[in-house]
Amino acid sequence: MSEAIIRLQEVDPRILYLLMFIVISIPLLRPIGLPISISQETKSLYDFIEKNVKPGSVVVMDSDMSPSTAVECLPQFIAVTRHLAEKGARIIFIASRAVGVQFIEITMKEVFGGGPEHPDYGKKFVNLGYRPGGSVGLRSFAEDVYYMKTDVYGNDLTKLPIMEGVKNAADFTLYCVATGSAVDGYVMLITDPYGTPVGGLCTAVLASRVYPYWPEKVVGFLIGLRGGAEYELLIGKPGRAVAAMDAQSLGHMLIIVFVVLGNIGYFYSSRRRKQ
Amino acid sequence: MKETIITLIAAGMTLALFSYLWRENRAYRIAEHLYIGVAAGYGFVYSMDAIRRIVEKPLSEGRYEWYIPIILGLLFLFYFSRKYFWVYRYPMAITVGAGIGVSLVYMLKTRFIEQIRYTIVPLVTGDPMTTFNNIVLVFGVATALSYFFASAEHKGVLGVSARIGRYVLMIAFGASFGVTVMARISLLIGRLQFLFFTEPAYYMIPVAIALLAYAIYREHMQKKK
Amino acid sequence: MSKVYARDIPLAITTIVAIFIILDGVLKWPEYNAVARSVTQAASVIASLTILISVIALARVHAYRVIRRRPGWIESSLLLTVMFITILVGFGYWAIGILPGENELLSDLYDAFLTPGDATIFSLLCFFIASAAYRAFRARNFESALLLASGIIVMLGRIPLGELVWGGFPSLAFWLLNIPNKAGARVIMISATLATVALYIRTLLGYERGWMGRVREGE
Repeated sequence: MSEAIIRLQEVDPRILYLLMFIVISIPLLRPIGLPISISQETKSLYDFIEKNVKPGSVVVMDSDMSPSTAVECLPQFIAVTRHLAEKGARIIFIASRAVGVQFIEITMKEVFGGGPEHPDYGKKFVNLGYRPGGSVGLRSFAEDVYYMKTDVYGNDLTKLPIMEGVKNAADFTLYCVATGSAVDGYVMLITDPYGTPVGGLCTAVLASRVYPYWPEKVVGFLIGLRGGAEYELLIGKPGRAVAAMDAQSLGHMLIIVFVVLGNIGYFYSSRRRKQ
Repeated sequence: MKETIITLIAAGMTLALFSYLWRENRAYRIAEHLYIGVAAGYGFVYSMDAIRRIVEKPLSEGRYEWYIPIILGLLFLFYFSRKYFWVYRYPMAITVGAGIGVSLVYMLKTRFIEQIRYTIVPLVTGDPMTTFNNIVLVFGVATALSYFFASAEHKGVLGVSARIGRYVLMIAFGASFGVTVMARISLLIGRLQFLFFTEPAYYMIPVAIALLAYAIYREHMQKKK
Repeated sequence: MSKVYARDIPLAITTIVAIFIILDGVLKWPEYNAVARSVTQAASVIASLTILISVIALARVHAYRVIRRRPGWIESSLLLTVMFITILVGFGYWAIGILPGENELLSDLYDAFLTPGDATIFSLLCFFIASAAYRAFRARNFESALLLASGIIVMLGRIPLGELVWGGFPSLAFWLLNIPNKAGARVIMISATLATVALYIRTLLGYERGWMGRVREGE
């Protein structure tokens, strides 16, 4: 028995890869439907939007996503945008990276049913496109929202009704950022100088680094695919994130099984070596 | 028709990149290079568009001083010159200086002073759970900070404090590891959702399985030889 | 003289620009703030032109490989081809009045190559984590056992299946993330901030010159 356990340590990693592939695929094809509870961080963002976002409130939705982080952040981005649209907010979309612009287009299509051709474009939502320059660009945008001059389709920002009464970050009710890198910069350059709270739509990797800012600076945040699933349930529109939670559950269990099996084998082999 | 071709290319790219799990191969390298090429070109186009949007209006209004940042930015090209390499340092100096200027003050406030401020919480409150949490938080921060204190040897009280601080940091890293695993699994779920539920991407799956079976058979025959 | 142009003036520019923008944050003087705002916007334009270096450097490396027929030259030629096609599509349509935001062909290239490339390369990490979990994550001592236990509790607490196993996992995971993890993350943040501020001040004083790139003899 102990021989078998020790020999298991030498298993070909490709078998582990295959097991992972199978364990994730099965619940995607045949969902189990496990119940999902709502965590406090998600609820705090939802409650903030419910209480503070009124018709006409200006909210910025910043897409700091790339295709890799979009798997977790895009369902969150869409769910929060839906909630804001239901509340009648004026939504300013902007992207902190060039590859994030496409996700704004996807969100506009999903939530509003169209982009610049939509009758509410320029009144209820606008796409400012890519904002270059990293933190320097963010500071410029926070100081003067017209620094980009036009939206991504070439429309003059000063002529769009959505921008009425908006000068700088102090005029935003909330600044939501979908990111996999950091929320520190946004807290530093949006919340501290202008008092505008930040909502985090974060990948799970980032989660542990957002807690120090919650709830004083970051009013609420969503963590990974689970956060997206929770928000979809809160707004009553389950989508891709909810569908993925069963696969997430089994994936986690498999990793835990691997850790336990690996450690059992390690203890057997170190005992053998001591003998 | 166009959507079909794009989805098939995307599915082919996905499976070619997944083939790395079997072993590194040409299909993986080709897919990787195609991705990098498009990413570089795409980033370049959008960066130029963003610059146009910032400078076009002031330039059209006769504010020609906005040519200065463009000319300064073009000086980055001197990076490739052997003799005049130092010219590249001018726009770099502005970029570095601006980056430092933008973040220095607020970094000290947000990531240092405020973090200490929010750690100063009452150690005795009406609610036992809040009291416990506050005590753990304050002593956790204090002991973990003492672990990084390198001006004295970690002996006696400081030694005990540093050791507890290490345990706190290990718990923090463990929690970080837990959420990282969650993130990585989500990435795979996203790709599989695309392969399984996007028409006609799922037609590439049997092709991939057939190729994998052939690769396994070939490796088996080679081992036999 | 050349040392002045090549080293001293750039160092001085860094310090002057940084102090100019720092003062904008602390002074409430409208004329000064307006000029500082323009300088910051101009700096963002300059910063975004650094992409020129990355594109040209990438093209040089792969062009060299193609010209010299080094191993991997076929892949490099494909990279150069798609990169130039993407740039041509972007600027070509721009020249006829279709901005990148409205450029469907550019969007198609993104969907066909960029999205699957980026997402799949990162999703490979899932498999490597599975392999590492089995072969490398060992509870060799108390601290690593603490790390693993904390990780496993958080993993169980963040999934519906973990909640079914024991209803207390979500609360325990939340507590671990919200209290000990917050303490640890705060400490790391404070330490990193102090180190970063020290680095910034050293840069402004001219002691840190890594950003200058290649340094010739005598500089």
